[in-house]
Amino acid sequence: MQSINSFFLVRKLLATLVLLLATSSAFAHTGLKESTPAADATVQAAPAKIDLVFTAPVRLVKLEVAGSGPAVETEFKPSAEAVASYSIPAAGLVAGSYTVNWAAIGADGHTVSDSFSFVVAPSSASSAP
Amino acid sequence: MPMSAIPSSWELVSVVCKLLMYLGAASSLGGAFCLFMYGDGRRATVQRVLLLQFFGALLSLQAVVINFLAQVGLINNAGVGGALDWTMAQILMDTPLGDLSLYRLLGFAVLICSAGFFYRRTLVMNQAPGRFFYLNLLRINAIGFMLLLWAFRFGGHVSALTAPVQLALAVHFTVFALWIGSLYPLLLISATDNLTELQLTLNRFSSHAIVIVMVLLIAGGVLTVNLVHSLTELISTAYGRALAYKLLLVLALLGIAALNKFKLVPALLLLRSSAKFRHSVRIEMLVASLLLVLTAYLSTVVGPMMH
Repeated sequence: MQSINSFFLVRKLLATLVLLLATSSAFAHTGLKESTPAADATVQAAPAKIDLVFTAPVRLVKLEVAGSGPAVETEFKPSAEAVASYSIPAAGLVAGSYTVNWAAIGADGHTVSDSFSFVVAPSSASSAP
Repeated sequence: MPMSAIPSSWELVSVVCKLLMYLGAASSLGGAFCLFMYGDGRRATVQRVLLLQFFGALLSLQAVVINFLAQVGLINNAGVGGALDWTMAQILMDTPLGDLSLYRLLGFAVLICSAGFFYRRTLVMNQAPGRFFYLNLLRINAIGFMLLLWAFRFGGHVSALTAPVQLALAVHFTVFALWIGSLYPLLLISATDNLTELQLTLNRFSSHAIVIVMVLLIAGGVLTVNLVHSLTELISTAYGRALAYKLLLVLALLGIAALNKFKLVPALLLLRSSAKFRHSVRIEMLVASLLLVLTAYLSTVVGPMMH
């Protein structure tokens, strides 16, 4: 009987903990401060590069640009050092919507990943060289 | 796209792995410490503690690997297959995460070998283990534990802070492991009819526990002050709130410890049984486990505000 009561007590406490912690603001690992193109922006000219500025130096280990067509080629290479700003050439963007998926390791060793989207307006020149 | 307020599956995997690592570390160091300082000399007791250490450290070792792969999975965001991306794994091995994982693997490998070696010794010894047995077990486990402490230099919120704060974390984690890791052996030791000797042992444990708790609170205070910079942060951020709940659980633990010291241990001879004390220790273990869940959440899903 004692062990059954303990089990229910554990379940209640865990559920309470999860509820209390799930509602929150500010999960403050290193994050993306700003980007060019900006998140949800519509740009008139296809950008030739993707700029990322983080809240603190990070090692960028992944950057992918996905559109409705084939994957966009970038000159991204995983970073060997931690810096706060990255500028990655990305040729071949044409009119359409794109999603940039990125992942980085912060100075505290934590992995952060996120994505943002932008649109290249129709009738804009491509960024192909 | 803003980050979700609910942890992702990979983050939850990471939380569980961290929890297993904390339990494995605590049971190894705390178990050896308790046997050395308060052991009842019975072969059965030391064997059960060593078995817990062995399987705990083995689980923890696997947790280190799974946690590493969970980071790969988090980055690739492509399901379980994404976690097995060798190319990304190699990239991560060159980051502090790789160093952190390596030292943890080494630490738990030492603890597994230690448990296996000393358990085998208990099988072949003609008599119950003596003082030197426990001392050597504690020494070797301390080496394994120090490798785990060294890993904190490469990852975690405190790794980016100054050396004194990192030292406070090392002290905090060590004394917590000594305290919490002692609870299961204490539970075994208190299953005895020799209540007079048990009372002496527990009084000794209580007097040492006061020092351990004081050091724990001081080191915890240093960490809190360096990670949370205002009362507003404590209340309004996920990290601050988790820290506040952790403090409440610590207070609950202290309350149970006080109940044991001032009521249950003195009443042992009167009650003619250690059943109530053992029940209290089980509750203490439960609260400590919840505390570890919270700590794993604190160190994985959320982070302190940047200043």
